[in-house]
Amino acid sequence: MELQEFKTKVYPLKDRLYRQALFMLKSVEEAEDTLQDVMLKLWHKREQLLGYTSVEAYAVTMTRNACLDKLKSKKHKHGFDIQEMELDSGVLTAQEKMEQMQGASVMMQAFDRLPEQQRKLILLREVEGFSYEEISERTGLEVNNIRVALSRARKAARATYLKLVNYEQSI
Amino acid sequence: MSKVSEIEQLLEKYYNGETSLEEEMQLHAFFEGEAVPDHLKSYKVQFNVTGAFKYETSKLDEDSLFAKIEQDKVVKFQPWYKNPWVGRAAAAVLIILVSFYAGGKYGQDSEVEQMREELAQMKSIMFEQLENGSASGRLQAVNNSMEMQNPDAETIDVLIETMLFDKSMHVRTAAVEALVKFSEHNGVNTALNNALETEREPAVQIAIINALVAMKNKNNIDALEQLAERDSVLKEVRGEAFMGVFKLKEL
Repeated sequence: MELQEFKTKVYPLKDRLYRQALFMLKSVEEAEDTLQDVMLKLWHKREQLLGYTSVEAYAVTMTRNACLDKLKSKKHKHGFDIQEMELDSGVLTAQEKMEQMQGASVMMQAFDRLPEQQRKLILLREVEGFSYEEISERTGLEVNNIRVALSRARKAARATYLKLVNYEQSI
Repeated sequence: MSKVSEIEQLLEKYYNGETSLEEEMQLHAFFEGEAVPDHLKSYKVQFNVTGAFKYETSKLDEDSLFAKIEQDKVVKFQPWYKNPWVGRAAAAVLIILVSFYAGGKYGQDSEVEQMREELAQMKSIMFEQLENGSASGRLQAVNNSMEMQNPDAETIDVLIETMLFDKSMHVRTAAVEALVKFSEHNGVNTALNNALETEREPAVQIAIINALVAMKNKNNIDALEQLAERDSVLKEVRGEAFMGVFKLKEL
């Protein structure tokens, strides 16, 4: 496969992979860096890519692994570096914005504590907006099991969030 | 307040994994708005956070996205002294110098003979490198051929073969560039036309087009016109071919 063909194949995936990396790393800079690394790795594996029915599935797995490596590395800043993200459409005071950023950061921690499969489902459903059938195609899970797992994930994320907020307020 | 009770119902469905995508969008829209009553405020952030990710897109344009591939693709040259070719060429030069010296001493006749022999030896080293070397080795060999003042027919044939069949597009491009230099040789023009026919890599196609234009041979207009019309060829390449036709017609 030559570079031009490769580019047309993977370019449409860039925003999805970027959101996946951002959701895991919570840093625009690290997510973009990961995206570039993933593109290079995909290019090196381009011959294998031809054998895969879904380039997307391959790229998603690769992005996940690259993010896990980043999270393990010492350079990773365990912070929340997505200030530019639009969390609310309303007009807010600086104080409200601060509170909102803190809330969002705690919520992300709550998502992080979910088992990996549940976190993946949250990403596919809430962020990518896929239907149950589309999620089923991508995960190999039955639609019914997806509903059950999503229900658990949503409840658990909320419970953890409330716990963390109460804990913070009690100190 | 019917709106609020509707939202409360949707929330229950949501946490039970029973909402449709449309209903989830409704929830997202509600919690992004300003009219969230106090008792529902604690639900807000869960929707706001995932909602915010929904609209995130990568700011990387195509060039930056693939930047690491481009960096990686640049053929990595070894330091010159580590290249086995340099050592062999130096040895050949040394032999020539020694033979000059020896020739001066022992008679003029053998001198020309000797030189011819050594040049043949250099050529065979180059061919061997083209045959068995790595991509960077082959590239180096092609670049070295450009230094030749008056290559023989055999060298030209090897370059043509390299242009047509080498695995690496960089080596093929270099071969195109080398052949332009020797365009007065028989067969070079025809070979470039053949290469234009068979080559599929856009960058090499463009190199061939530029070569055909540089040779200022009006007979090449037809081949370029055909390429400019071919649907399977990349738009940019066809544009280049079209420009080539224009330039040649202007001559």
